[in-house]
Amino acid sequence: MNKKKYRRKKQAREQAEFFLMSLPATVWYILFCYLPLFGIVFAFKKFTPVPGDGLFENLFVNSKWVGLDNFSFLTISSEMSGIIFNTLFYNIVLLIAGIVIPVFFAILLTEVRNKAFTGFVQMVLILPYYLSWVVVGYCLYGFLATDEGQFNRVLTLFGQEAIKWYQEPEYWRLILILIGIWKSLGYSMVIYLCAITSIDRTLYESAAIDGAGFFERVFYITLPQLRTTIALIFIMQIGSIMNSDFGLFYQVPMDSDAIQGVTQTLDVYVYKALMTQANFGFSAASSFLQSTVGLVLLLITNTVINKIDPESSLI
Amino acid sequence: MTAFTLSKNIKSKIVTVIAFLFLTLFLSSCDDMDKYGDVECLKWVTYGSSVPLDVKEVLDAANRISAEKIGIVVDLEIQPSDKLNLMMASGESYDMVFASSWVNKFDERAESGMFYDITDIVKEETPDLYEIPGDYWDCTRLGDRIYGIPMLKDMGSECMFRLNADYFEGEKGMKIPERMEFKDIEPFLEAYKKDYHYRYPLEMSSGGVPGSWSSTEGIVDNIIVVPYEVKRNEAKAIAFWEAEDIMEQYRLLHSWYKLGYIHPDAATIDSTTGDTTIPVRFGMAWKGYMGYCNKERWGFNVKTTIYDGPYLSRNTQQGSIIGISAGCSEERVRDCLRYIELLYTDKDFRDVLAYGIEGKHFRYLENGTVLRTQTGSDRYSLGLYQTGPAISASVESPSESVLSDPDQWVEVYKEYEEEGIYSPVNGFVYDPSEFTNTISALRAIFNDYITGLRTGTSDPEEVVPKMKARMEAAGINELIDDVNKQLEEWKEKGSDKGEEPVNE
Amino acid sequence: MSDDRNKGVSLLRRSKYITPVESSYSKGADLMVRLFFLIVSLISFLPVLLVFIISFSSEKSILSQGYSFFPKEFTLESYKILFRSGSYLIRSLFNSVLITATGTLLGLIIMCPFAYALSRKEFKFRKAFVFFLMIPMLFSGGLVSTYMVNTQILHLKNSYWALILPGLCSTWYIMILRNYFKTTIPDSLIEASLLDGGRQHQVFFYVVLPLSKPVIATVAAFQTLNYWNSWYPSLLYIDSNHTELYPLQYVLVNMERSINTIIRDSQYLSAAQDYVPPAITVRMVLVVIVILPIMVVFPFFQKALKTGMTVGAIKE
Repeated sequence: MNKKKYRRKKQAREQAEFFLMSLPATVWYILFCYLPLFGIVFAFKKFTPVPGDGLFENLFVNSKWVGLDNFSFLTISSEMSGIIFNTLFYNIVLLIAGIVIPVFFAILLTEVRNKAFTGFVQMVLILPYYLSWVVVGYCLYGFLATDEGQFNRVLTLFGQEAIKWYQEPEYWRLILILIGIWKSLGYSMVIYLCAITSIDRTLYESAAIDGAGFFERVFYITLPQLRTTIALIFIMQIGSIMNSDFGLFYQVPMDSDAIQGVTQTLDVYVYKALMTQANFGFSAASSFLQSTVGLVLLLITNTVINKIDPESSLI
Repeated sequence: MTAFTLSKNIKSKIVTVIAFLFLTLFLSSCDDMDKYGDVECLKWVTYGSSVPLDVKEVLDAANRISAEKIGIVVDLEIQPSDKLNLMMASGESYDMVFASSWVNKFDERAESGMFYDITDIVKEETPDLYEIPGDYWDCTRLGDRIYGIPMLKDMGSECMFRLNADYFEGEKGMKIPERMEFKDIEPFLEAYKKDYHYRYPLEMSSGGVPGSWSSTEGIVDNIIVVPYEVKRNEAKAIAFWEAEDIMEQYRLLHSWYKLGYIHPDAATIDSTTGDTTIPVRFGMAWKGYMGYCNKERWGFNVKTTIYDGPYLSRNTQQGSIIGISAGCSEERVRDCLRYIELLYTDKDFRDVLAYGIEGKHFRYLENGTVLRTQTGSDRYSLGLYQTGPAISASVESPSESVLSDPDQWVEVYKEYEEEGIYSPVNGFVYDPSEFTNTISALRAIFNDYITGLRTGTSDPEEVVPKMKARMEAAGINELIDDVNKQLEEWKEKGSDKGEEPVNE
Repeated sequence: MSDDRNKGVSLLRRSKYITPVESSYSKGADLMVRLFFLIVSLISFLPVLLVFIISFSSEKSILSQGYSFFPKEFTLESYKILFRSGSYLIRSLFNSVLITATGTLLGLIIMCPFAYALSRKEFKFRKAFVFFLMIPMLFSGGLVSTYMVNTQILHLKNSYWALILPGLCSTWYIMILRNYFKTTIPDSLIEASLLDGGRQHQVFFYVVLPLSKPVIATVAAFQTLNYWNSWYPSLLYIDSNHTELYPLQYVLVNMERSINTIIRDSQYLSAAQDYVPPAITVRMVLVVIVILPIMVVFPFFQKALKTGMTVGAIKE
C-alpha cells in the first residue's frame, strides 16, 4: 500500500517535472504562435478597419463575415488545375529526392576514411543553402544568359545554335528540380549525418566480426537506424505539400512569361494576384487552405506510419 | 568528469552572456524630445524602401529649426510599403502618413475614413498653405471634401528618349528633333545596329518602357483603362488591349525585338543602368530637365527628345500626399498643417529634410541650385517626394558644369497648364469592392503575360488573344460593365454641377 | 545535489569509450567515393565561387562578358562602398553578434528540456504536446496579427528582444532534438540513472545533454546562421529612428535597397545622381558577408559531430 502510494507520488512528481521542463517553450508558443493565430479569421472576413479602433475590434466587430468569398479568387482562375499540378509535382519530386539523395550521400560520406575531407565536403555542400534565391537566380542567369551565358558559350563553341533558355519551357522542370536539390542537399545531409553519428558503434563492430561488407552494414544497420529520422522528416514535409518555395519558382526563372506554365505554383499565383494590393483576407484564405490540406495529409501519413512502425510515428 | 566540467563551463558562459545582455539591452531609451524645449512632437511616417544612414542627424537639424520657428518637431519614420500596409491594418497610431496612388493607396484609405477631413480647417488655420496647390487640391478630394495635402512635384508624365548625341549627331550626322513620335526612333536604332551588329541599341529591362501607360488612365490597375484622346462624355472604360496606342507600341517593340534592337533576355534583366554603351534610353521627366544630360556620368553628350505627354490624371497627380490620421485631435491636426505649411514656405528648412546638412551632404552652387556631395549621396539620399513638396526645395544640379534652372518648377507648371493633356475622367474613383476576387484573378493573368509584352519579347498577335480568352473566362467583361456603370453615374453627378473637364 | 551529479558522472565514467569502427571501404572504393564527393562539391561550389568572383569584378567586365569566372578586370570598389558606412558597420556587427548569441543560447535553453520531456514515454501528455507543436508549424495568423501582437501586446518594438524572441523556437528543431533523444540515448541508461535516485531534470542535465552534443551542435549551428542572416524582423520592428539597433544583415539589405532605389530613380525622375553604384557586384559582396560566418561556425560544429562518434559508442 505504502509502496503504491510512494510510486504514485513519485509519478506525480515526475509528471510535474516534465511539465516544468515544457513550460518555457509552451509559454513561448502561446505568446508568439498561438496568440497571433486569431489572424486566421481574416480568411473569413471582409476587412474594413475603422481608424482609432484596435485590430481586435476592427477584425471581429467592424468587419463582416463573408463565408468562403475570400477563397474565390483561387477558383476563378482557369489555370488552377495546372497550378495545383505544378505545386504537387515539384513538392513530391523534391520531397522524395530530398530524402533519398541526402541519405545516400550521408551514408557514403561517413564511411570515408579521411575525416578532414568529410568535414570539407560538408561545409561546401551547405553553402548553397545560405545563398538567397535572388542570388541563385543571378548565378543561374550567368550560366543561361542568351549571349554571355556559360552554357551557350559552350554550345556555340561546338557549332550549336544558342538557346534562349528563359523562353523554352521544356527545360525548366528539370532545371528547377536540380536547383531545388542542389540548394537543400547539404542542409538535409547535416541532419542525417548527425543521426548516423548517433548509431551505436557496437552494432557495426559485431557486424564486422560477422564479416558484413559495406552494403550489409547499410541495409541491416544504418538504414533501419535512420528510419525514425527519415519518417520524421517525411511526415513534417508532407504538412507543407501545398506550399512551395516561392523564390525557387519566381526568382530563379526570373518570372519569365514564356515558361510560367511549368514554373507557376500556388504561392507564385497568390503573389502575382495580390502583389499590388494588400488584401489580407485573400492571402489569409490561401494560406489557410494550404495549411488545412497540409494538416489533413500530415495526420493521415502519421496514422499510416503508426500502423507500420509505431516507433517512427510523430504523434 | 567531462560532463561535470563541461556543464560548469557552459553554465558560467551562460551567466556571463546573460549578465552582459541585461546590461546592454536597455541602453536604447525612448525618444526624448525635451532637448528642443517645450515643443509638440508629431509622428510622421513616410515611405522609403531603405533608410539613409544619416537620417537621425538630419532630422535633428530639421527639428531644431522647426522647434524654433513654430514649436513643432517630428519623429520621422521611413517605412517600406509592406510595413506601411501593416501599420495601417494593425491600427498603429501616427499623425501624418505618406499616401499616394502607388503605395499606401490614397483613395482606398481616404474612402475607408482613415484620414482627417481637413477641408475647413486648412483654410482657417493655414491660409498660406491653402493657396499653394490651387487646382491640384482636386487630387486629394473625395466628393468635395479634402482628405490630404498634395506634395507638389512633377505632376504629369512626359516620356522621352535620351540619345547619345555624340554618336547620332556627331558621327552619323542625324538630326535629333525636340519632339518625335515613338516610332520615329526606328532609324536611329537601325543606324546603330548596322555599326554594332552584336549590340542592342534600345535600353530594355523587365520593367518595359517607362511611362508606357501614360496615354491612358488606369482604372483597375492597367488592365481596365480609359484612353486620353476621348472627350469626357464619350469616355468609356475598355480592356487595355483595345487601347490602340498601347497595342501599337507593343507591336513596334516586338518587331524591334525580332530585328535585334532589344536584348534577347530583356524580360529577365533587372536593370541596364550600368551599361553606358546603350545609345537610346527612355526617360520620364519634364521639358528642360537636366538630370539626364550629365556628360561625366555617361561619357558622351545626351540629348533628350520628347515623344509623349505631358499627361495629367488623378493617378499622376497623386504621386505624393500627406494624410493626417482621422484619430488625431483637432489641435494636433492644426499642428500638422502648420508643419506642412513650413515645409511649403521655408526653403532653407525644406532643403534640410530634402538634401541634408549644408556643407556635409550638399552645398549651394552660385546660381542657387544644390549639388549633393559624395557623403550626401552615400548617407542621405532620399527622393524629394519622400520628405515633402519638391517645388519648395532648391533645385538640384547634376554636376558643377551641368546646371539646372533654379526656377525650373515655374516652367514645368506653365507647361502643364499650356500643353498638359488631362485625363477625361480626372477625379473618377472606381469602387472595386464587389469585384475584388475577379480583379485579383485578372491581375494574376495580367502578370503572366505583361513582362513579355512590354519588353517586346513576346508577339502581341499571339499572346493577347490567349490572355483575352483567359481574362474573359475570369469575368473581365462583367467587371468592365460595372466600371462603366459607375463611370456613367459619376459623369451624371458631375454634369449636375456643371463641371467641365479642365482641358481638351 | 552534488551527489546526484556525481552519480551521473560516475555513470559516464563507468561506461566504456570505443573508437569508431574502421571504414568498411576498401582503399580503392574509398578513393572512388572521395573522387565522387570532390565532383559533387565542385558542382556545389561553382556558383558560390562565381559569387566571389563577381564581387571582385569590375562592372565593365560584367557588362562585356556577362558573369564570368575569368573577368578581365578586378576591383575592390564594391567592398569600398560597403565600408563607407563606417562606424555603423561596427555597431551593427556588435548587434548581430549579440542577437545571434543570445537567440541561439536562449533557444537551446528552452527547446532542449521541452524536447527531452516529449521524448520520454513516461510523460503522459507528450502526444498532446506534439500536436500542440504541429499546429503552429502549419498554421500562422499572418503578418498583420503577428505584427499587432508583437508591437501592441508584447511591446517589442525598437528593442533587441524584437529581433531575438520571435525566432527562439522552431517545431522542426524541437522534433529533431526529440528524435535524437528518443533514439540515441539508451533507455536503460536513463532508467539506471533514475533508479540511482536521479530526478528527470538531473538525468536530462547530467546524462542526456552531454551525450547529445552532436544534435545540439547541429541545431545550434542552424540557429546561429538563421539569426545571423535574418533581417525581416528588423524591417518590421526597428523603426528608422533607431538605427543603432540594426543588425549587420539589415544594414546590408538597406544598402542594397538604396542602391536599387538609385537605379530605379535614375531611370525616372528627380535623380540627378552622377554616380550609380554597381548593383550586382555590391549584392554579391553582401552574399560573401553572409557566407563567411558559415566557414567560421562550421568547424566548431564539426568538432561536436566528431564527439558524437565517440559518445555514440557508449556501453553500459
